[in-house]
Amino acid sequence: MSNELQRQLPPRDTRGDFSFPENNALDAGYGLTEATIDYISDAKGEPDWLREFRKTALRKFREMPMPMHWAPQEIAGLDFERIRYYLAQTTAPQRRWEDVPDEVKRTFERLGVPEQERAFLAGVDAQYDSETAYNNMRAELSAKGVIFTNSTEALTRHEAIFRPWFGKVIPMGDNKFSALNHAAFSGGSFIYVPKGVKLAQPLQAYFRINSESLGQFERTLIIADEGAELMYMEGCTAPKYDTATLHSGVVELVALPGAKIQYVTVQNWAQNVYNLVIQRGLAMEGAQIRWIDCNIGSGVTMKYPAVLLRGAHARGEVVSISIARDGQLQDTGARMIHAAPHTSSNIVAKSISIGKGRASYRGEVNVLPGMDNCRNHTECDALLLQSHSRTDTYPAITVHGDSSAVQHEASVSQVDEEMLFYMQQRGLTRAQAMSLAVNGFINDLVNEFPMEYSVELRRLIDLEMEDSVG
Amino acid sequence: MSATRQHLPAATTTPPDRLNEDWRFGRPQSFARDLIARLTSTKESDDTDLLSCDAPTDWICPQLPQDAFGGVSIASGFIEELALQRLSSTLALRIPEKADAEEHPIRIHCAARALTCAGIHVEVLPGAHVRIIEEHEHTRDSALVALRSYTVHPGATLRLELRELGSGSSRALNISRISCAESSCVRQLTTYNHHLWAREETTAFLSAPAADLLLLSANRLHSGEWLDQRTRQLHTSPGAKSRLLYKNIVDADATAIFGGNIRVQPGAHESDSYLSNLNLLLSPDATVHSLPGLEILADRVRCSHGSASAPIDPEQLFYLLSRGIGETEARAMLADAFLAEVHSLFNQA
Repeated sequence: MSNELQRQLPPRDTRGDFSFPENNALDAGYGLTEATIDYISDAKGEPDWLREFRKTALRKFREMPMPMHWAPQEIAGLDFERIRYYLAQTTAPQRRWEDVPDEVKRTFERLGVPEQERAFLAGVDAQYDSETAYNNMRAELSAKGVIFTNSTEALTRHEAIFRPWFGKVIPMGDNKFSALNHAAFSGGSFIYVPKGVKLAQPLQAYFRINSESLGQFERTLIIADEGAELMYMEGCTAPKYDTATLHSGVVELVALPGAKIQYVTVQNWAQNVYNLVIQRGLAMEGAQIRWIDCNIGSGVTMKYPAVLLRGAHARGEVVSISIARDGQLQDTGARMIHAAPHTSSNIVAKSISIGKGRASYRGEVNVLPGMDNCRNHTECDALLLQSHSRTDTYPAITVHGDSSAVQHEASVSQVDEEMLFYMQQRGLTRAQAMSLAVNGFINDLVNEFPMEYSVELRRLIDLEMEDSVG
Repeated sequence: MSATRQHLPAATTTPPDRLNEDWRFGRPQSFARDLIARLTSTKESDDTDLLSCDAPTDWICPQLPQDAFGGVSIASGFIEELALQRLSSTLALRIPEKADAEEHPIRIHCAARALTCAGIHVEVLPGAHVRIIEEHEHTRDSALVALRSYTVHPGATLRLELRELGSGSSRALNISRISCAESSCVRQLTTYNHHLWAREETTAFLSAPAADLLLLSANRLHSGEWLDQRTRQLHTSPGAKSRLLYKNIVDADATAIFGGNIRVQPGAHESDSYLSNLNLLLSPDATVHSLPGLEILADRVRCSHGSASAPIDPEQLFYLLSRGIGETEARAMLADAFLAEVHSLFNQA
């Protein structure tokens, strides 16, 4: 980028790139051993079954190999011994911002979380390093029986509701990173929405990493009972450190018959973060699960939101945007498993590769034997902005039987020079023209985000474009 | 050859296993293992002179060029090496400059026995225009590993048809390399009939501007048959064009697997590439696995792919039924029409 252009433009969005000195009363140290698990369980005061559950998961984690036969080679650089598995100031979340420790409160204020809560949210869960610092929900929702809490409280105080589904959508032996999360999980949101309750406003979680070399293993389980509806949004930031930070969350959604869950993620981690997240939903009869996923940050992201369509007429959808800049690998995608007849799914993924960035789509659509009249449509579009940018597409489609239809299409394109020329002729700089063209490329997907997020997302993309094109 | 090998991953030195992504869904533990057992067995006879060709004798070379084969397998490097050691029937063909063999195609015939390792090397010199029909005819329980190498020089045209004529219990593995030079034009159509198991590994190198490649395949799979096709369109030079259309009709409990990849190397701008895999499902027990891939490392390219797997369109069927055509006949007509597009493209292009 030219110096002149650099002067004209605002800097990259670096609001998340700050940190406070560590002030952790609880620190399990580096590496993951049985002693680490005892430390976490003792700190949280967990029942014996949970402690044993974690230890079984640890054994599985050690036994399972890294999935190097298909995963991007970049994850080979991850050293599990140089990660800190549990860091917290306190284990109990606060219900009022006034009670939250000062630097934690200032962190979330800088990120605008309390302001958003006042403006348009039904509830907020704010996680700082390993533990939830703040968790609150509007009183009227509690009266309707909605539960919005963190993993520790959920499995101790609401065991009867959450335990039957805990680890059922994503079992601990599913893969190495799910075993890791089952062993070391802490924080995250556990939500139960009773039958027929429809949340008019979204619930939000904000995940913040403050400390260096931290592994954040949040655990989210959302259960929407029959006919219930909710939207859940999560945001993530971390300061940039020289050492690797690991974010390996597990998100399980359970949509019981007729329920609707919409899960929105805007991920803007710093580039030293390995973002290896497993997200999977179970949609029962007539239920709908929709993942809306935007990945802008992190060094390496591997994330493939999935829907297991378990009941007839269930529907799954993934809308995904990813932006890969220099030094970033966004390996994102979607999985749709049609395990019931008359189910449908839709995947729309758009990626933008800038500089030496690499964006990959990796997906799976599987219509299992005997599942009649299933439908899937998948569309992947990639935009390459510079000559050394890279994009990949690796879909895997399996269809059994003679009544289902699955379609997949993908294309790679670039910004049309004539379009840029036209806009520059009308007085826009090249960077502004490029930004406009890129926003046009993803405009239809950005509109899928809630209003507050789509405005924010457009602004973020503007900054990303203007900072990188010249 | 060495110039092209540098763009490929190192040849695998171990037998294919289930962790090999290019064998995904391909049952390496049974199909690859069976082939390896035959290739390493001393009991299997190595019949010679199983290849014949009706090209003018002065076009047939007495010896294969050095490094004629090897190193281009997509994920069967181990099998390829074993086959190279047992290569019993070979053919080297050199089509002279500006030769014209479009009207009267050259026929290559390979008679596959219990175990046949065949090598076919064809070089089409600049300005030549040639049509080749390559037939692999199988006997009962036969197994064939065919190493095929086609090099098409600048300005030359090759129209190549590979017909795999199985015996119902036969197995075939075709490892093919197609090299397209500047302004060359290559059309390949493969058809696989009545194999218990067949696997195709085709790697096409587009290493010069204005090279133009069309890869086609049209297959009808019946009870118990497995067809596993893996392709690579490798653009190493700017300005080349490649198209791929593989169509399968999958009936009874047959399985069709397609794994294709377009790779555009850094600097190969203005590449124009397309890949399409279409499957028609005719039975509740039919299975299709489709893995169309893209790896694009350069901008200013036009690359896309598509995959669709579906049953016969009920509206089309209704149209024929409403005109008094019986259901069995109507379904057969629609299935024939599905594959006819591929043959028509091959004949037009």
